Amino acid sequence: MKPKDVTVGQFLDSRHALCPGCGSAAAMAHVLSIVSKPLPSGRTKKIRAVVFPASCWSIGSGASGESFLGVNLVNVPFIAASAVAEGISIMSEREGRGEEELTIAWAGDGSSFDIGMGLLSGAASRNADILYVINDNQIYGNTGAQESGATPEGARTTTSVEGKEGIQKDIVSIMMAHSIPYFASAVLSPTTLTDFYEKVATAADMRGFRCLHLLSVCPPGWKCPTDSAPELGELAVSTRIFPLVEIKNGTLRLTHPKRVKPVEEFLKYQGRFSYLMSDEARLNSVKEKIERKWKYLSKLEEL
Amino acid sequence: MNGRLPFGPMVLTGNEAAALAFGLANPDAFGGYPITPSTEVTEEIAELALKHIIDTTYRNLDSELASIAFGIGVSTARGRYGTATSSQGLALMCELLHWASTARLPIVIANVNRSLGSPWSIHPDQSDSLLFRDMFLLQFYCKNVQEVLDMVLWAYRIAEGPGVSLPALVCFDGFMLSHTAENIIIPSKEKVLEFLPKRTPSENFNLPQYRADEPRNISCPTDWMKHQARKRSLVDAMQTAEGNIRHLVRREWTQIFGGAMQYEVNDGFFSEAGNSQSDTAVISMGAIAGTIEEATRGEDIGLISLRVFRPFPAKALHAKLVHCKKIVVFDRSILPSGEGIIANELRSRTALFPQQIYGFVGGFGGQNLSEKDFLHEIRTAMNSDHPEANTYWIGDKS
Repeated sequence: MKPKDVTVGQFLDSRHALCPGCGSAAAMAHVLSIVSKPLPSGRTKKIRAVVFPASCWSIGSGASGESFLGVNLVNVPFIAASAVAEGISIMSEREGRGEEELTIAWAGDGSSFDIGMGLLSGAASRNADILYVINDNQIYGNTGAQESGATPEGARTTTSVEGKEGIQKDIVSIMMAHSIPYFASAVLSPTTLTDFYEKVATAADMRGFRCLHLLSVCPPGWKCPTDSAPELGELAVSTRIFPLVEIKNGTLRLTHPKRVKPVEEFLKYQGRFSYLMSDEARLNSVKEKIERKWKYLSKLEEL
Repeated sequence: MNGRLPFGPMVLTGNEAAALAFGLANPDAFGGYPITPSTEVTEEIAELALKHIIDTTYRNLDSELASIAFGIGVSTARGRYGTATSSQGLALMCELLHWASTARLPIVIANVNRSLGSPWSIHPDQSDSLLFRDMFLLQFYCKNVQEVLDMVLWAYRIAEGPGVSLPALVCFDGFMLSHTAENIIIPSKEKVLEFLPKRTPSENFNLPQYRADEPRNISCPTDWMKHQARKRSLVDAMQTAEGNIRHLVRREWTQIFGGAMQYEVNDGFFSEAGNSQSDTAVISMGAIAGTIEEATRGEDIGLISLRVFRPFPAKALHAKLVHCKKIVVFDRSILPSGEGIIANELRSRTALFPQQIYGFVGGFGGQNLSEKDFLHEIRTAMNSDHPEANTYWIGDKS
């Protein structure tokens, strides 16, 4: 599926309450548009529901029972999205509509890396028939940018005011260890658009547990301009800070950036990295880890 | 099991009876997670599903949290869901159980009553399910193995009823019922289907029918008036449940199942033994009722065993107890106020229960309550002048 085949916009009512420049809002509009088109196999699927754990979407997706996304939405507690989505998909299957219906869980990094990780692991290990989207803005965004397991080392949050001390959890390896049918990380940016569309369409087309890991620019949390999402998305990929990975049937593929840029190019636009940028030793340590991670993924690609 | 569910008289443990009841209720999905002493319920359902004796989708889940979350999904998508747990497992579900009740999802949970730590104990104790007495959950308690089977069927029927749509707990004492075999009668699948047809979901709280045009946003924020109306409707739902139980027992249960399984007395809310005209009544809940019955045989005492705790059958109890001068309550639970929970429920309704209420608590951590203990303690307490001030701890030698 090519980006030009899809008209985006019909799925995001202008009354939505997400912030200006929100990467997740844009990604949502694109994802819903893509999965509503005929998929690579020729099949068209109907979205049975999008399940939201506690997140910006809990307050941004509608009011008084009305959906601003044009599809059924089910709000649930922070920890529960994966298993709730599994329950819904079981009913589609039991009613004989497993092939034509799609249940999506759209969960943030706090929900996926931290509080809901146990249940995410369970649903993945059972190969629950859902599309699980990790909408990763690297912080607890809805509560005002606190540190999560996805926050990169050195990034400032309201609960790590001098930059995160601990590590960023390696969600790619964690999900890979579950041997799920499909995992892909994707970024919505001009240079990665085709990659994004292909991955979303592939994931929607398959059955079983599919996981999409989307990097979502969060202007208030990242302390970056509201029009910076496309550019920052592109830089996250070209600096190798957010490697574009696809794992299908156990085989890992990396989307290599055409031209690798220095890590600082991504960091310098964001207020959250100001401490890190002024501490050379710490910055070098972070850069080294990014390099090592890329080498690790490249080795896996050779297998 | 040889290809179909058994039917007729059988000797079964409480756990086996619960599993069979779930089999008869034929939920769309059942979530399994082991915990003593409820594990056998899960094992039995897993086997029934594996052998296609029931067409329930069984899943081994990764925690009780996953189980209730999975149930929220199944139930939201218009399905029937069941699971079994005990103590720590039920407590772990707390957040999602509250969500399930306020999202009006009629999930049925068999809870085998067990001590809630600390310290560790696997012995019977009703503190686990009664911890949730302030939630909008229906709560049924069983006196014997037959009631375990029957209450699971009641629970689905009442929980899924129009105007109710709330989750339900079916509680029975660990080991005393879960692992004790008794003679019971298993109803036929056909009769159960007549009593408990396929779920008709409330359109207010669930995903719309497949192919419905108008998308829904379930459990999203709303204005305070709608929010408040929804809170109020929870109270209405509890009251509706009370009326529905009465109707169900008076008419359908008896009509469908006939004389073999009768609950007509007191509209099914509680059972009776002893002398119902006596000045003194003893109230208890769960398997201990049998022991109390033995202890007071031949004494001039009326006995009541609560079967329905939520909705609390205050009116029916009042009607039964209005002539009594003294009420003795036995609780297998304790509150920070120093009272057992049933005693507290009665004392909080002084207009209905102005009598002297003698509260007993005990049976914790495996304490074996004998008939002799009961009679002795009841007689001793009856001679006390200040029942309101005291909770009598059975077997307390201090």
